[in-house]
Amino acid sequence: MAQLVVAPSALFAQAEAGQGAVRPYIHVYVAYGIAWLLVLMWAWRISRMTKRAAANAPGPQREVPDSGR
Amino acid sequence: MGVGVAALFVMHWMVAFWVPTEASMGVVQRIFYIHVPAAWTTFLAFGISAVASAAYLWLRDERADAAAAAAAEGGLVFGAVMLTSGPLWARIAWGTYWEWEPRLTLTLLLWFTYLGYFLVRSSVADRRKGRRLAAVVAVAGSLNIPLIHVSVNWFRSLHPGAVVIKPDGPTLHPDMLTTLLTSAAGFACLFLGLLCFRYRAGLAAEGAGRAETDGEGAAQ
Repeated sequence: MAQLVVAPSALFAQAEAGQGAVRPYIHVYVAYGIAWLLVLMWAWRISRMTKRAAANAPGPQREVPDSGR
Repeated sequence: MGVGVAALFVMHWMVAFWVPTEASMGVVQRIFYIHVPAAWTTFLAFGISAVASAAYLWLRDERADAAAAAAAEGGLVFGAVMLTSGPLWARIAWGTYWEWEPRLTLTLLLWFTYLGYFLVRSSVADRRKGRRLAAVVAVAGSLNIPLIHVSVNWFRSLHPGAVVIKPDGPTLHPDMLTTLLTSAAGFACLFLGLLCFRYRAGLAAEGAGRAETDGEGAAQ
């Protein structure tokens, strides 16, 4: 308790140091996460384009056989 | 594409458990294993786009234009990976997310140039003319790529110089080089796989659009 009262700056420095050790990991995880997110978003966009193109594609042309009349 | 995904899974294992931690920068240096391959893939993508655009300008073949657009889109995606991972690394390494220094500025310019490629492509009423103008943008924009590579040597730059593609060979720890090359192979294979799908989707969309227009014309 005395430590909290007398040396709050030391505790604050300890907390800062702890954050300093964690912060690089956070940056690494965020960087890798953003990379995967962007690539997956592109893949999803391509998938949507493909489905839309398939849906809008003209149907097969059916040849009506000549009856010979 | 499957090979690319597998290589990237291997890369993640290597980054998490195998590759040694860099002495001066510590853990944050592991961003290197996505930042550099993303950069290389971006340059590959924009290079393909430029070559396909030149082919379109010369041959007026719609397939070349579809390839150029697909590659440019991929370049924007991997460029975004590079431009987000770099600042996250820089914040810890340099104490700032961004510096207006030569390599970073030229790379950002490259990314915006290819964003402009799509804006030009879609903003002109005459579709063919829009595509020709966009192709010119793609070819001109690609001239920035070699400049970005040499900028760290020609200008005073905060960005580290090349550690792999240099005249006297790579100067990287062997395990780090292995991890980097695994990641680069994964990124490249993944990009080329997605590029094929995107190219086919673009051509299919083009064909469907043309059929719709023809149908409307016939109905009229």
